[in-house]
Amino acid sequence: MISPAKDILGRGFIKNQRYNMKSKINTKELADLAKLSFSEKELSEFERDMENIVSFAKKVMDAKAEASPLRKDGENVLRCDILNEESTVEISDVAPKGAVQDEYFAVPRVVAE
Amino acid sequence: MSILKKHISALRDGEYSAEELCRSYLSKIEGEDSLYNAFLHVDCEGALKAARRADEMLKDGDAPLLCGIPFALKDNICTKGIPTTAASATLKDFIPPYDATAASLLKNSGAVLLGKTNMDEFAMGADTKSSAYKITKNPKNTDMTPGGSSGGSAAAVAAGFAPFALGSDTGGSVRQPASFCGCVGLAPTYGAVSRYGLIAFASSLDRIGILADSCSDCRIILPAICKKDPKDSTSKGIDSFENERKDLKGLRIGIAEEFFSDSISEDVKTRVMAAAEVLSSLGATLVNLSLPSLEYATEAYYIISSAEASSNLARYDGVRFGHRSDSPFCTIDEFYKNNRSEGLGKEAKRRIMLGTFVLSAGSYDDYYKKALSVRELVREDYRKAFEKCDIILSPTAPETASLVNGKPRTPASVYSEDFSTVSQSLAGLPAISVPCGTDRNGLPVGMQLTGPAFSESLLIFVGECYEEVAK
Repeated sequence: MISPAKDILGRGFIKNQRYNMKSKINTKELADLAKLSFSEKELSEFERDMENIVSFAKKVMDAKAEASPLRKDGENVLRCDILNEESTVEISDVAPKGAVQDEYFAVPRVVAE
Repeated sequence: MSILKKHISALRDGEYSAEELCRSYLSKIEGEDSLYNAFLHVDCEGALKAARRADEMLKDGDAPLLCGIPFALKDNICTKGIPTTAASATLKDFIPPYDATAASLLKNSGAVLLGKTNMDEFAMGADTKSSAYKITKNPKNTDMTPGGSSGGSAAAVAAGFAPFALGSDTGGSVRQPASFCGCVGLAPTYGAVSRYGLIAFASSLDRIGILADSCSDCRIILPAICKKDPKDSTSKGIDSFENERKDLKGLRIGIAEEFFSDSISEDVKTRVMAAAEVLSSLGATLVNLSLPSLEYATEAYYIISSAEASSNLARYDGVRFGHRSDSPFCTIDEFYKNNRSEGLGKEAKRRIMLGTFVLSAGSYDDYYKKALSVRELVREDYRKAFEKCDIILSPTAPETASLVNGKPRTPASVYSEDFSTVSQSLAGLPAISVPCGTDRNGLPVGMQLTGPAFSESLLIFVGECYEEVAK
């Protein structure tokens, strides 16, 4: 089972890197994660923008959406969203040897080639 | 006769050569583009060379339909040997070593690439103002924006700089500028056109689309770029472009109340409903329906697209791709930060930050996973809707073009204006924007026709029927 707490590149998240939705967004820490730096002036402007954008995005939490978006819990979103019915998969050459049986390393055949 | 048909027949009848045609477009661009800033790069030498080659193909006979026809490409579609910047400073010096599949299909059919058009940086925006290089203006009124993010392509077609152009549509970036500039914009079904060589913004939403003068021109261009491509595992191509209908009798056109909310301007509502009446007078039946999940579609779109953007734009770190800063650094992290912070623009940074936020462990379930669920609801709502109707009619944008020098607005208020176009992107459905008159200030209004997957031919046919009457 793959942890759902992985981003779309399959990277694990930094432990203890949690954001309380009700508290102020820590723009500086987010910028660190995103490999961006801002001057103090830019940072305060980005803080305002992020508050504005996140309060806009929060509306999605009101949706009564019970449909399962993923074929399997934790499946990489890009993989489940982009594969068409005709696509075949195979284990990537770059998969760690001890983990080749893990479906996580299955990639579309054309990419594997 | 449409502009494309006119050129196709003139080139075959020897009325003028592909080189003459190419020169006339190049000279128009040279003379007038300073008014609109539609192009970022014009490839005069390459275009004339391609036009001479097209003349040879035309002489030999059996040349494809688009042979000798000039066209423009949005600057996020890779072109071998020609700068491709996605309007970002970070890709200022990037010259791709290969052609995108869509570009190479057009070149192989003898079409003549004139140049690359301006856009919002990495296709993130709706007014072509976030380009790192220039601000494009709407040829219908230079005080107004051309929309975006494919604003340069739309402006190029509307100004007569190219008979057609390709753009990219992630959440409406072909349809909305088409609507603002008074041309036709087609976003084909996700997977119909290969994304290979399209600089990625949000991979599960990105599609290459067409901007043209008329629906009948789209009918000619679409088969040339819709081919299954082994280099894009999501590409399916389109097998048949046949349209079985001879008229609109019995066609059921859905009108979803959610698309005509209070946020739509009265002028736009009036023009689109008048177009619905025209289609009804041609034999179509109007069906009322509801798409309740649209209420959350815009938010879901911004969460998903930003999440994917934060991943796709990770490569612009100055090592793999992108600008490399001269600023001193002590750690590798500092080095990356310097490169990315100097190279990327404000809107791209906002999207990366939002994407990073919604993918972070504490927000993943509440935002990202929820947005994916909403995406499923949107798909399901459309599936149910197409049991009751054949296509859905809606406004392409809630308002007509906005002022270039308008008052600054909050990001959320700008994002919410994508309401009319994002749901089709979430569901991967084809949609076409067709001009349907003007507002009280003379600015173009567009109506949007959405159909089930791979129903491009039907959408184009309905647009053609409307154009015929609207003439």
